[in-house]
Amino acid sequence: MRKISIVILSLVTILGTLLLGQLFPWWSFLFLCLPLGYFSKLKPLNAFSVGFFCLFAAWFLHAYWLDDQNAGILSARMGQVMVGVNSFGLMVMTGAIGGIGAGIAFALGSSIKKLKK
Amino acid sequence: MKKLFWEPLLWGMGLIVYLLFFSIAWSGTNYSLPPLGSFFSPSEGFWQNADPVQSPSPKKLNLPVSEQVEIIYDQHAIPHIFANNISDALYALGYLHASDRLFQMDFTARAASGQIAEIFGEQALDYDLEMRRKGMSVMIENIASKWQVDAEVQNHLNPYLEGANQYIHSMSKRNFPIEFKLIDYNPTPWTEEKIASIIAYLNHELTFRHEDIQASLTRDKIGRNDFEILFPQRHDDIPPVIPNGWFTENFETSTDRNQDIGKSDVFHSIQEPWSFSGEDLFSLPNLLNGSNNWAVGPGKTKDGSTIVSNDTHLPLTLPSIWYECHIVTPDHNFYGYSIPGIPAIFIGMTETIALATTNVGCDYVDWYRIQWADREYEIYTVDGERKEVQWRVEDIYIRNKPTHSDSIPYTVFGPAPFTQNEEHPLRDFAMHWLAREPKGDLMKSLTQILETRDFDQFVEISKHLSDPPQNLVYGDRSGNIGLRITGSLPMRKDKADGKFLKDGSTYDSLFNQSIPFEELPTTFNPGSGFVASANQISTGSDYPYFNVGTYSLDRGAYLYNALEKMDNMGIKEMKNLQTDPTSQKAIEMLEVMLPLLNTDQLSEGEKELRIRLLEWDCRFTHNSMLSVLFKKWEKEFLTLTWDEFQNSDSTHRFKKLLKPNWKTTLHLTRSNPDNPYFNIVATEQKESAVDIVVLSYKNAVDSYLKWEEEHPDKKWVHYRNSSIPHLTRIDAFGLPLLEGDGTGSALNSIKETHGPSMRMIAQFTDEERLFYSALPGGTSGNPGSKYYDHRLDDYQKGRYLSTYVGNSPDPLYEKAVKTITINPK
Repeated sequence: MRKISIVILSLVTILGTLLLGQLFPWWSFLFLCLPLGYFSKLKPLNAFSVGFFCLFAAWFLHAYWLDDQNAGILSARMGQVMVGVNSFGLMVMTGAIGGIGAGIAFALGSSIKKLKK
Repeated sequence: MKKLFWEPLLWGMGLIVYLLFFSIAWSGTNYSLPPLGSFFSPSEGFWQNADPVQSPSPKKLNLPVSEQVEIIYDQHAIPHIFANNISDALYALGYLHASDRLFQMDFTARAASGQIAEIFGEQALDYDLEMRRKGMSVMIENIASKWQVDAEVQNHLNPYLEGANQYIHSMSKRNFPIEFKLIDYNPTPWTEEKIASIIAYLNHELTFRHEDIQASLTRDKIGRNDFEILFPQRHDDIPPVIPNGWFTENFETSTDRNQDIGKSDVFHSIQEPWSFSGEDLFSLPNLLNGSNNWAVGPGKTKDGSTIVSNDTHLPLTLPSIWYECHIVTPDHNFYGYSIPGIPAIFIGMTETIALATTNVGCDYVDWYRIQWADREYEIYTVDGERKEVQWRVEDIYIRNKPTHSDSIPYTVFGPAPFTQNEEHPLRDFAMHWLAREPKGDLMKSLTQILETRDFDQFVEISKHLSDPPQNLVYGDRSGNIGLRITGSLPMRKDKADGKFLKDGSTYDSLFNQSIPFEELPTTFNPGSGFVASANQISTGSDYPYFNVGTYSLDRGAYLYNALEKMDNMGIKEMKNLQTDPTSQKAIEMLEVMLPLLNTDQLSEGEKELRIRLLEWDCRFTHNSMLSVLFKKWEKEFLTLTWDEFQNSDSTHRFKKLLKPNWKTTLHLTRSNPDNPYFNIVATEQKESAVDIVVLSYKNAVDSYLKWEEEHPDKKWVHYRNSSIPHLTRIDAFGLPLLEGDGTGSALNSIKETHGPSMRMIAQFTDEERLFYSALPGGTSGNPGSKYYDHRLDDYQKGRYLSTYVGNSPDPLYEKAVKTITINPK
């Protein structure tokens, strides 16, 4: 049951992030992650991991999909701009930047919930 | 409980730090980062610029056009616009320029008007100041002010601006060109002022040339007689753009052709020693900005067709300077090259005519020594009359810094750009630049090109073309060819007028006249069967006005001789000429220098290379090695000969003098080999030209062998080391090594970051019109698009595309890579 709820939580986070990104600025996912963290029943550090994983996946996969459509033309050039990072490295950086924010937002939500208890 | 309270506080602070860190642009001395959160976000950052390589499905838009417009990017991604009227076509052109090249438009306009510091910060302030002090913003105002009162031009500009702004307004951050995201600023609407800025940029690139101060210093040092010998304005073996006997007009003018040097030269000396280094002057655009163009009539072609060819040599950048496109309406069909940001096709082919252009090297900038009446630089005197300067204040916005205000005093001769700097050697001087106050309106002539059907109309529209002066080549489907030198060609008082520093204490020296429109050099269907230009001197001795300026010495002669010899020409011959890497300079220099090499003085290795040079065809092919040897020999020969001009001089402390060109040096080698200039000052013995030829050859061979050893497997392309940089010099967005044949002195004139920025061949046969083109780049300005540089490979290999110039969109649909249908809203 608990595993299922984490899967659902992750799906909501990933899909919600992708949807919000189409309409609102890049940081909009934080406003999704914060309440999800609050209602997740996870301990803050676990919530961080789930949030990190979800955003990492969402941004990494989104970047991967765009790169794939583009046959890697842009990421090859951008990798050089970023001093020799390859396209996979760029995707990891992308995922990590989103992941850290989501992890913190999840953990914040979860710790507020803990406070209320 | 206490512990629990701290936990959300810490996470909350973490979130704030995260948001701050990833929302702020970071910069230091060696780096500059955009806000990383936005930049990496796949939904709005750089990943969004990764254009899918698969063709998108047809796009349908509802926009304020009057009738349906169909835009088809053909299989080469060249856009063809099919509209029912010219306004709708211009709307579409504005839309396309903005959607494909918005950053280029914005950046070029900023570079022209001196607004780079607004995006790059204080590091760009010096650049902006220089552009303002040259008077670029005045020029931009002057260009745009002509449009306010001209309904015809307004009708042309407005739909274009609407189309461009429609696209700009429709963008959200995710659609911004990647450079906007990297530099972290937002696009602003396209305006008439920005169109004028790009025209001003062209004027700058093509007319801002001056050697007046160096020439004056040089003449002071070597004396008037030597100056006449070492810096002749004309070389008799170069056929001018319009040779004697080709003119369509008989000139009746009162100008005295025989006036000698000195008449204008009231103020002929610097008179006092002052220090001057090249850096004290404004930086100049590349002196090699120029081009080749020619037309051959039915008598010279194998099928009786008329062929017009053009390749414009400009700074090579990615994206390309040119945007190739095709505009079709029921009344117009114009295929050719536009410049993003300007609503026009500059060169190309209509249903009846083809146009090609090269630059005229006439002297457009004069320097005056102003007679200041005070040290505050507010009052000066002209012919005894006290005059007050007009102050112009330039506000320069600097990113993250307060606005910088710069006040520049304007005299009747022009701005005095260096008065603020007490140490500046040119503090008393003012600069007159003809293009700053344009007499005509380039935009108006571009507007009218669309309606031009014959040579008379072509001459008529050139009336508005004042700057930059151009050698315009014409060819039409009826088999006529012609060439007209257009623009505000300065009417010089004698052959030295404008060459040296001028006297700013009298109105007499104020330059203000141009050659009358009716007397501009023109030729129509000359007996030669061809017309051609390659930036060489404009006219011969039959023409009643003086040529003062900087003209090409090599390509013009080669082109003229080649076209004169050739008959039964076709497209293949035209392609071969445009990509011909034979150096006229190498031909002429080796012809004089090789026979002077005394083999007794040479080692075995030197002898062997001499034989190879004797057999060499002077073609600078990409894998040639003798090209490397020749370049080294040329450099060594000129450096050793003109050693007198290298070092600073104790009396004048000169750092920068003019140096005689290779052609004059060769002439002197032949005619006066014992001239004292051949002597090397640093040695005790007396050297002659022959000694210099031998010594420079030995040095060159040494250096060549060393280079060969240090660079195994490297050839001419590596030695030439040409590249195509991105507009803002982001390495990853440029081409690090441009391969392919060519050198500056060949028709295929590829230099370091400079060369043919397009190649076109337009042909009118009895039945059809044909167009061939090559472009060192692509259609898109997006480094993430496969159409950013998709034509580079063909360009480097000297290959051409045969492009579609027909009236119907139907043949294009099958292979189209993108279509946009705009329906009226």
